[in-house]
Amino acid sequence: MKNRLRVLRAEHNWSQADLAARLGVSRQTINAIETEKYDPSLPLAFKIARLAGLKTEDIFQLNEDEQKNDNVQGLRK
Amino acid sequence: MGKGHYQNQLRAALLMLGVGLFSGAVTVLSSWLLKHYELSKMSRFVVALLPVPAITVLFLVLIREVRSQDELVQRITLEALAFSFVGTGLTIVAWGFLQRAGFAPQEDWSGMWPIMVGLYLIGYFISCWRYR
Repeated sequence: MKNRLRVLRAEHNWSQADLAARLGVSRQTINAIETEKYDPSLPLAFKIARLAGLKTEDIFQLNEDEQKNDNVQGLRK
Repeated sequence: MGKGHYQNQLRAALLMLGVGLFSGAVTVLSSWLLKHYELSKMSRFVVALLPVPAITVLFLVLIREVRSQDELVQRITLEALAFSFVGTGLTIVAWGFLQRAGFAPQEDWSGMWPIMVGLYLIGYFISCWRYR
């Protein structure tokens, strides 16, 4: 899953530690989400979106491969 | 996660260290009593199981700590536990095969604990490195 977290953080002038403190997670979690090594849980994704005043889909999007799989499964239904 | 979070983490680490040291001390005491004293059958039974309550408390503290972790750390812990579980299983199976072939002596299986902990630490560092 790709995300715009790093851009959003820069727009709001938050450090990774600031954002982690606001969300109640570790700085390592923020870094892993930004580098797309870790996909956040749904509650955390909603918390991030609420903090930024956006919808979750404005921040998190499926990669092209994941979207293709999604489309194939949609066709099978 | 501010100063309070790190204070909580330090408190949890100290609690685990304290409980771990206590359960280790009870285990050593139990082994020492069994080795150096001629005890009745019932007393031997009780002394042999003496470390179990202390180790149970250690398990409960560990589980409580894992449940209070942040979600990425929980993922890392889970991956480390899976690594340790599979690694320990493989070690036991390999040891069993070697025993059957006469290459390995009969071993005290409680000695598997250090292997399990060692594999957990290796798994933990591998997962931390993956999500760094």
